[in-house]
Amino acid sequence: MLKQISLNENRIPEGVRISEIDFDNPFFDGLHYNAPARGVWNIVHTGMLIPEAHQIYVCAQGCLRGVILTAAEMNRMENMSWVALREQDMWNGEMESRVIEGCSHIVDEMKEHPKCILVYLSCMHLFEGCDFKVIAKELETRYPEIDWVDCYMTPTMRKTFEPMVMMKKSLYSPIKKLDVDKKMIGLIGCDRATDKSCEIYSLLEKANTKMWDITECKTYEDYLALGAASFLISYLPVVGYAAKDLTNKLGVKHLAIDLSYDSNEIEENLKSLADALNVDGEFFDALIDTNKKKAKEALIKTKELLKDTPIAIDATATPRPVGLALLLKKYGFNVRRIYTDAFSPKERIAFDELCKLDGSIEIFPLMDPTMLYASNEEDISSSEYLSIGQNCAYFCQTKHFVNIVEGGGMYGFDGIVNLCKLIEDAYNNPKDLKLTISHKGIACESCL
Amino acid sequence: MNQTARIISIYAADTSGVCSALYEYGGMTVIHDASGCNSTYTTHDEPRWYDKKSMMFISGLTEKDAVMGNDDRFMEDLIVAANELKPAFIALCASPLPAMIGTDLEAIAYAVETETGIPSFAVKTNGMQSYITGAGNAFLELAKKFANSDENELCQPTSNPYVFNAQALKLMFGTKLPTAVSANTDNDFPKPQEDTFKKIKVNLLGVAPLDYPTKESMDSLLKFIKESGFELNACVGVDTNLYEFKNIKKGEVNLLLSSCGKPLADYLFSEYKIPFVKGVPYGLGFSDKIKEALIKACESKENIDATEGFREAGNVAILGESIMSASLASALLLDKGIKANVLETVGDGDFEILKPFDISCDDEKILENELKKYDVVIGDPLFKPICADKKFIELPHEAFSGRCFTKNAPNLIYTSIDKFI
Repeated sequence: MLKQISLNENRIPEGVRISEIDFDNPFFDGLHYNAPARGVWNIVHTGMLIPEAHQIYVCAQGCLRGVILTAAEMNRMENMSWVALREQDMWNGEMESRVIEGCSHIVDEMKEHPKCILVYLSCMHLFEGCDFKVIAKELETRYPEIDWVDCYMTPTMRKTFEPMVMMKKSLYSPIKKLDVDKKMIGLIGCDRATDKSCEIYSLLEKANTKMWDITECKTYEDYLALGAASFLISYLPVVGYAAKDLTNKLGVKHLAIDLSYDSNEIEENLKSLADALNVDGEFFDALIDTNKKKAKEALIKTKELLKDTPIAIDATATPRPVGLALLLKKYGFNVRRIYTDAFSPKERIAFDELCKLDGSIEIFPLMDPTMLYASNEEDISSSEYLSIGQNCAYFCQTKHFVNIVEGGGMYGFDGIVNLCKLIEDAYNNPKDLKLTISHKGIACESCL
Repeated sequence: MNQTARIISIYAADTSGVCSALYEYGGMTVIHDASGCNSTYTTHDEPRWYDKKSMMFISGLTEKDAVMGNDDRFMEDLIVAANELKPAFIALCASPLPAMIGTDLEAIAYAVETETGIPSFAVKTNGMQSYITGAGNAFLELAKKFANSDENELCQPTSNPYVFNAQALKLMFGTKLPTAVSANTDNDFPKPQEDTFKKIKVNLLGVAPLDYPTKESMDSLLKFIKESGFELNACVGVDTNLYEFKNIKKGEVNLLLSSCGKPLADYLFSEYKIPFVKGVPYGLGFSDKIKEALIKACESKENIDATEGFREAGNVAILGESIMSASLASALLLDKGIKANVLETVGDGDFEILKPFDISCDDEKILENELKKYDVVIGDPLFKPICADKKFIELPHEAFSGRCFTKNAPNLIYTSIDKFI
């Protein structure tokens, strides 16, 4: 049943017990609130991962404002240009030529042409039936030395293709098939570097295989080298569409080894990677035994430090907030809250198990209008919560929080060890909440 | 005009202007939008978002609703939220797609008001105009809805505009009030001193954080009003509340501080015969001129452009919003003998204040060529890349560069500008 969050007498939203919430449709989807936590990456941050590339946004002023200032705060305005759509563009039938002439004007103004240009079209183009192929063909004809990439800032379409899903597909569009390097695989879908200490890298080292990771590409040629990957792996969820496109183009397999906090699932995923890399079973078993033991020890040690400290987790911190809550709960942590607007179907088993383990855990939405008042509850000087994620840190008004988004680059049993270290650090060392979460795009350069 | 920019930023849009203007009045402002407008506004265009609560939301428009024209869902969501949050009013505005598909926000506002009994109105936006149009229209619609309120609804303004009255605080924070201000929320408002009744009552118009983001600038404006012997009647936009706004027609003269306040200034002049003075009290010499103009306007009941007579063409270019830039040009002339031209870069706002030697230009390439004529450029740091090797004096403007340089923004209001240039 859909739950409409309501305010109590002190105008504080009241959470819903996990045992009473509908997994498929947890909350009423009405007006949307936006909490002042800015760590999650947007399409500008992701597009900037392509070295030596330039971005051009073609949209209305209101839409341009957010993306242009994202680039400004990153100190990357030299990589950003725009074409503004005006009211007459909606009616004069020249939408295609506005994009073509606008982009051409920008390129002609550049002293050196970039190797790749990402052109972002908007909802207005989509709803007007703009011919994207005509645009691409004309720009490629005019500037054949540039790789033109069609990208989409179409939030109206988020119920079918979220902008970030489309962005992840566009991110790899210029990749062309190269001679296969059997000793190289490609990690796709990650905006941030993955910890080198994790089991993925241990298996790669054993297999004498290197990893292509976009976060390590310094030149456009480094980036294009993905075309030689012998197979692709990913562990974050929004990459499915991109993976399908890439595997078709490169003719290689894609192995989804989802980020998880379940011991069996972690082991299964790593086993499939080990098999694909032809790593011998003896090495694999030893690696898993060792790291599993380390993870267990880390969890016990961290629990001893935190004692009964209430813990909150939000869905921007990890794609598996329920799975993480279940893991922590199994080790005795006092998990009290999860903040999410929806549950991933992949969390169904963890959800059912968590309901049985502690049905009193409260679920809060992130975007419900009443969440405007969520931070009323806590005084930042006395909040007892330790939060995993920026949004719940804000809602709980705590200085003790793990500052990560999308899993924070931590994976496997090693990821659990590293997450425990971050939890301990958050417990011991308070952060400046406002300053930290105001920074747009976690780990990106900022002029603030 | 190519409507393109290779490297410079873009001004905040009309939707942000609406939200910014209505922020402190206890209403619920909703942008009919899929996603992004709220984040853009609350990240880059609203410095109050973290510390001061306001009911600013988006509708979460989906492709299905856009294609099928499902306005019922939007109305239902508005009613659900309004019944829970109990705003003082509901304001609606549109992002590009609802504007494109012709969503009738006025009709939706009417239907929602009928259903909830909460005053509701639409502000015309399409996400393709500047913040000046959005904020200007929002202030105007607010005035049409509330400035003519019954006398019994009016209340005395607080002597300290940083202190809200209890009812306004309840609207904004609920019953649990922030400790920092809860000590000042007695229903007994401070009694005005006797001599305040002899002072000219001034309304400050066009004050939104997109133009005036810092506390220092607001403090200086209030200091100017106080030390000039005026009484602040209403500060429209910042450090205010709906009760103060309802009192606006008791003002005797309006000080128009940016183009965002122009439609409201015109409305108050036509409806209540309250004259306005155009100008920002930058520096000391020009502050004196504004003081004189306020007194004169109050007596003559005529509108006055305070920069008139204090502008001369020169080799310094000031980039930005027209009223603020023209005022700075006058201040430079009066305090430093520096002659400056205004290059109005928003492409929107009050153009009447511009002189024949000023220009309005929102095209990057044309602006870049125009700037070659000048020796010194004063403007937002994000204009710097098109200023070649000119001497560039940074004057951050929140409406252009967001929060990027707010911490470096100098306060030039009612103070010496010797260190600025």
